[in-house]
Amino acid sequence: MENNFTKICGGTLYDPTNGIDGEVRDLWLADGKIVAPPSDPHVRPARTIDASGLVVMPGGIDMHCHIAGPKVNAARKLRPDDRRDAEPVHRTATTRSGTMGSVPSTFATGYKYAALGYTTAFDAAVPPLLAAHAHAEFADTPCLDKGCYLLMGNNHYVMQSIRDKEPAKLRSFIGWLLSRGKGYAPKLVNPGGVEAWKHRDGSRSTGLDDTVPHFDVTPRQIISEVAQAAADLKLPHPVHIHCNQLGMPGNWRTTLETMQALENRCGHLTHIQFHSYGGGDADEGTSSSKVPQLADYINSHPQLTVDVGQVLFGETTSMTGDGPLGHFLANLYGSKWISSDVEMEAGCGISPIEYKNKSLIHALQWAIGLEWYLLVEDPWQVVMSTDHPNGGSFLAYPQIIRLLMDRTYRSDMLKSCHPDVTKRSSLADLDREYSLNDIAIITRAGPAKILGLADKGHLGPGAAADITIYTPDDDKETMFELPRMVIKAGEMVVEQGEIRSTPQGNILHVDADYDREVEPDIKAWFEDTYSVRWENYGVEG
Amino acid sequence: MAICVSLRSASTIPIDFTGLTPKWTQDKSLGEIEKRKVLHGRHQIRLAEICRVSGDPSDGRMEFDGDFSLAHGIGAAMTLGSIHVSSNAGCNVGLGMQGGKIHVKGAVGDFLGSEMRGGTIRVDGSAGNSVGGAQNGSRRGMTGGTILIQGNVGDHVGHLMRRGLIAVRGNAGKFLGYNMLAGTIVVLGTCNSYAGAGMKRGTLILLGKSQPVLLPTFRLAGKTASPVLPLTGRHLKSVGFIENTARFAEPCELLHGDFLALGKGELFLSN
Repeated sequence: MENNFTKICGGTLYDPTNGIDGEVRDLWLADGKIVAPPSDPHVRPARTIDASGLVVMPGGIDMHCHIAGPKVNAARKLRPDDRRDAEPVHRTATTRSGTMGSVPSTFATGYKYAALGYTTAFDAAVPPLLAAHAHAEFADTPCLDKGCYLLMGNNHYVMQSIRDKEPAKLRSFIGWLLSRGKGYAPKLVNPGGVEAWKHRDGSRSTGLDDTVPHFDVTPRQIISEVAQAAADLKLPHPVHIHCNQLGMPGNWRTTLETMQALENRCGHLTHIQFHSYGGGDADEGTSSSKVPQLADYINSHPQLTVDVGQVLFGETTSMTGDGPLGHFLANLYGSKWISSDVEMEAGCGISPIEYKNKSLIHALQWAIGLEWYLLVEDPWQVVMSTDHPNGGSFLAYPQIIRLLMDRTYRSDMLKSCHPDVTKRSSLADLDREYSLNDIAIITRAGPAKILGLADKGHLGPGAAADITIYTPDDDKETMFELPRMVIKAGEMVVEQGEIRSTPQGNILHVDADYDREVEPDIKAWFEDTYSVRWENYGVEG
Repeated sequence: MAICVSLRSASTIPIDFTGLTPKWTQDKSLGEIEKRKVLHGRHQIRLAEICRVSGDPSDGRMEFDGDFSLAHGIGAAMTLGSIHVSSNAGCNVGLGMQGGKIHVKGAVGDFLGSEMRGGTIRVDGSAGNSVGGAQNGSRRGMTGGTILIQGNVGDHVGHLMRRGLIAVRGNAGKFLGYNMLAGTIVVLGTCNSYAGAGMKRGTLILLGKSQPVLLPTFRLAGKTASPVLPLTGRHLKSVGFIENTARFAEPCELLHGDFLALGKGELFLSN
């Protein structure tokens, strides 16, 4: 009998969403989806993949990375030095050539993600004005389903609506912006702080209750009003927050206040590692970890989630919509940088950075990231990320998995760091080890749930056939850096590191249901302020 | 006896010789060397397709016979031995070299000795821009070694240089020692504008007949008969770069700068 079934048989499944923790089961796929086994036992699949002895998981989901768009491309231009000595990706019959370094070229990004077992990725900071650029790069980033979050935390219309106490306008604007820019979620980057910095140099450290010049609103208001509007719009991923005062000693209080400002609304705090520092008054001498206090709050508030933004030692490139942060880093390390002012919308800072294990601050950042994984009790609330490339490359994910699953390896690495790290963080006292099921949660099932992606991150019938098959190994880094097979929408994409096919992948975006009657008001404001025509704004098709 | 590489025919297509160093060739047979892949335009081809190779590579000496002005990366990353070019050479000669000697009889292109860490380069003709400078985007130019040029040089000589010596017998272009961190640059001919722009530390010795237009961010410290000058002169004579050291014996004006950067650089000007 002719059919288009594929059967993956004998694999050990890790599917936390469906409560399957290391059970040997067969999987049936058809038409790019996972399907229930056919009821007729005589049906023979058209293709069988023998996975006996192998580990089967849903395809990985990176919910916070920087892989496409204007800032990523600016970073490529800023860093020819980074690519010069990096082994290039050579052209093959199925793949295009590309360059590596901390900011790989578009096609190389797709291939390398796929080769690590990832099938979905989200660029976390795209200014709506330049969203078309991000989508153009997405079109050249194969093997992945991808989406982007649109920057709104310093948008003039957002701040005006909040000042004028017009929540309906704000709600419609967010809906309009997401539709027009084909975004997946609202992103707040240093809400209000970037705008304040544009007005006066030196106001890098905008606290939650400082007023944004001209707009007369506070970051607290922006966070709370945008979170409310996103909740009213019933967005799948309501709000993705990069808190104020990133990287500053003593910023943990601001982070805690941000969590509190969300009240009982859902919210995701991103690269939380960079926002968990004790100390104060920019005194590096008193920097310390405040993860226990913040993790306590997360543990008692299940509607809040975080991704870590793990720092790995080595050279990388910091890129952010947080212009003042770029300015701060470039001055701190005396390095080159790019700053960009995106009209009514956002800022941008890009600068090279090298994390050194002998530097107390860098080693502390590394330890604080690991503390986050180990101190959040429910793995569904914490997601693995390096904030690629800010904390390190996504290529370091297998190393992070080993650090979480192997406490001996972790403590050996801690010993190679600056000795004071153990005094200023609790990492040395944490002996928790992640299981494969926990890893499946923080890299797949968790982000899918947080993003509201019903057909991703699990292996139940109806899910997209995005599947990664690993060869078990005692060294988890080895296991996760070279998947045996990666299947994307039913198609074999990678076998043992070799790219077999390069599917285009889908664009994930939301079409929010908003009140169209506000559009004339937005248009009037737009034509008064922007440098482009209304008709030319956004992403077509 | 050295190994000799000569072009089979003149070509307008650039060739990249990066990696074809005395150390690499030393233990190879001529056949193996001929099979080495080099970048010719955008294609990888065997060396033998464009060059004749003869002689014996075992003593670590290489000779490039003919006009190699479109050949880039000669002596790049070399660590030992010597390279002699009988006429011109292209860009990136001695890029990142760590040791050994390069002698070019003719002129060379841009980025001569860029990011080199050690060794000596002599050029009898002129050199292009960014001698001893940083490659695009890098934080550091040359960090050691010596570059001796009898002819003129282009702009940005010693860009982001960190250590080492560059000596120029002819004239220098604009932005000499641009953003340099340390090291020494000597120019015996005239020097164009913006010398020392952005320099933090380091020494520029400008002994040309006519004084360059200096940046306003350099401050005059006074006349000096610093022993640095005769010492430098004696060193340059001992390596055969100059015949007499008279110009190094006269008192000079000393300026400090660039005060837009750290301002610890020294600029010696002959009267």
